[in-house]
Amino acid sequence: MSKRQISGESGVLSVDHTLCSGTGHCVDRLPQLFTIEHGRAWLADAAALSTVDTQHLHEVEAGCPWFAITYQPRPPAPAEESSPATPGLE
Amino acid sequence: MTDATTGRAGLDEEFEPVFQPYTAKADSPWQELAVDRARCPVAHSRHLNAVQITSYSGVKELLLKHEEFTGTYSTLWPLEQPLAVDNQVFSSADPPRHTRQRKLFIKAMSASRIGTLRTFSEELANRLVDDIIGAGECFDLASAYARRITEGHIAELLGLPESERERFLYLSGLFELSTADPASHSYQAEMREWQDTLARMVRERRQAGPDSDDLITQLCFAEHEGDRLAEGEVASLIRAMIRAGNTSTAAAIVNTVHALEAHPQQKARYLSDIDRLTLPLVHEGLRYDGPVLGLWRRCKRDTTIQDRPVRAGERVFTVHTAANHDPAVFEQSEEFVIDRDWSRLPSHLAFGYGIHHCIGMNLALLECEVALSTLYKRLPGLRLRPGFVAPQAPGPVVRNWLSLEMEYDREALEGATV
Repeated sequence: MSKRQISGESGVLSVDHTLCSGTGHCVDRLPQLFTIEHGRAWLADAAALSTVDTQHLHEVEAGCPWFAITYQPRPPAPAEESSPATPGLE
Repeated sequence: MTDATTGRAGLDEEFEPVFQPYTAKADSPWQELAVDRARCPVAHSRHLNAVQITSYSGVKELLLKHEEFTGTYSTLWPLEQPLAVDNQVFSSADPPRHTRQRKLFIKAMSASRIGTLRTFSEELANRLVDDIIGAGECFDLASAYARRITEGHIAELLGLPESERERFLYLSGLFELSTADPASHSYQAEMREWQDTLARMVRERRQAGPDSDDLITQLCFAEHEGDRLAEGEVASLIRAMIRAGNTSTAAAIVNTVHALEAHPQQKARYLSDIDRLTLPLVHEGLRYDGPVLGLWRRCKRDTTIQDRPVRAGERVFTVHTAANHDPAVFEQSEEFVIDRDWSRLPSHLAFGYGIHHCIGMNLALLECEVALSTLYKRLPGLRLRPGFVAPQAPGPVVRNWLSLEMEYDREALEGATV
């Protein structure tokens, strides 16, 4: 099913249809995640998000000439207990 | 000085391209471009003093390598020095300057926003056809219709005063002539004066306050990270928009009609189903004979295009119309076929590709669609005036039939009383 926003473990990916002009730069880069229908880009199922490297998600965002794609990486979970960076040097 | 020859070390066996647009620009350059594309798709041209790129994959690769190739030396003229910073706008600006400018424009030029202009577009096209009918049975498509369509849209978008429109239309055409002869200074005084006029207009709009919703006023008061654009930069952005909006789209309309009239079977097919075929016709017109023949860029750091080395400092010329005729990408690539299924084809490169993808694309598509369908629906028996030979714009940058004299069956007009 096609969507305008999907979220997964790596973050949230969305397409703004007020800006999208359907030229398909996103489909050229990540055909497994994007399709063009009725002149706009749509996102595939959320499950597909986890198959894509986050670097590629940043690239597809930067490569959209209409600034229609936003990728918000999920902040890393806080570490449970931080250990000294250089143990044994005290 | 970095001479283009420095990039040719080890490439002595390279073929010399046969395309010579400065001295022998052909009305139909497709054959010589096909020779270059097949034999030397990325090769140094002595004629252009630049690396000429003619394959689809080569042009697209360059457009994606925007960090290696800059437009700051102008994409329209092969300059030896970068443009003044205020004049680096759109495709002649690099990120982050380019990104900032584009973000300010993008909402106004988006498909959803431009879609709201459709009623205006249809009324303008119909009014112009009324004027053509009122004037007689022969008319020049370029001056009486296509340029009026584009000038009307740009003026509407920018809120240009009626008194300035005619002059702006004339001035926006000067760049096209100047690209054919970069060494000539004959247009520079007028183009500089135009820049001053626009800068004055920007100053006046700033003084008038932010309440008007025209694009010039919006740009005057747009803020990016707390800063407003300088007056000179706003003036350059507006000038680029008027220039590109007027000449390129008018040429797209005229070139498509020229192609359609040269292919009677395709024309008959179009007339049989205008509503369904207009959009694929527009894209085929842009692919087959788009308004941008080629554009200049300069290499910023050593790289390759299609594995051929290109050195920092070398000038590069991308031949967009050659890429759009590449048989590796388009079947029947040298044929004009108006019912291609564009949803299944790679995009043509008439609007470029990548971060510099033509920001006016949605406006251009709307104008072409409305202009072509209105013209062929309303003027029965529309045809080129027999014996008329259309003049082609000179130089390597532009494809534009400067005049296209046409006639139609006046007595067959709906409700005709003549």
